[in-house]
Amino acid sequence: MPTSYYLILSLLLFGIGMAGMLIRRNIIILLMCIELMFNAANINFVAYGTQWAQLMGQVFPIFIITIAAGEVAIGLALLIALYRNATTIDITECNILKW
Amino acid sequence: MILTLLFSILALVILGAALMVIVTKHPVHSIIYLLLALAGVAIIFLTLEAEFLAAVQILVYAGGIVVLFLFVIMFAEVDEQIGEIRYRPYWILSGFWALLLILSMGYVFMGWTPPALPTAEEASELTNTQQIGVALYNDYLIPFEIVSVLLLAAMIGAITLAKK
Repeated sequence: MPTSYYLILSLLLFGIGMAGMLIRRNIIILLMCIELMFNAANINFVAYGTQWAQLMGQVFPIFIITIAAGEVAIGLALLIALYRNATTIDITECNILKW
Repeated sequence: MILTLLFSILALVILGAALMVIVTKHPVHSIIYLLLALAGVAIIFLTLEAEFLAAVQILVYAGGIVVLFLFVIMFAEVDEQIGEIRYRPYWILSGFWALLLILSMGYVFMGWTPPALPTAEEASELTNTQQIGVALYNDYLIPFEIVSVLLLAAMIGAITLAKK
């Protein structure tokens, strides 16, 4: 399978994740779209790593997956703290800091 | 030919699931579609001969992060939050910019083959997991330890933020 197929798949997945992050209101869906973008970057890394036979293409996604897991944990903890105070998970309602 | 067909089916499943994540109404359905997309990405890793990474993807993403999302969905009680309004006010403009990014970069990537590095092809006797283990503990030891401390910090932070 040529590498450009994986690159295009990674690009489309990233584009869908980015579009979802720009248009949805629910904060949980936003966090899920961040996960889609992380996975797109992982596919990119592994595709290049397989093509050039370097192990960095597989070690770095391990770090990315680890950091994504930590980031999701903290993001969801923030969401819980926000929900306790604002009782909404609509991101257009969270505009107290807006000028 | 058959490999291209199978890859196309897999890619369509992943992209269709990702599209349904951002389109569907109920957040729990979005999480299930996300699980399907993550499992598809794990199969992509298998086709790229990265079996340890595919296992780690299933374990961490499908087994950890999706479960975490489901717990928080149950906590935040999204059944009352679902209204007819799903998208933000300027969603057409935002979607247009995302589409423009995809099309412009896709046009570059269409027939492009990356340059081949002149690497020495030595056939290693270790399995993929052993190679990654050797690399993690010899070459990438410092990032490995730093990531473990970062996970500890994330755990402490999440507990502090979420408790009453």
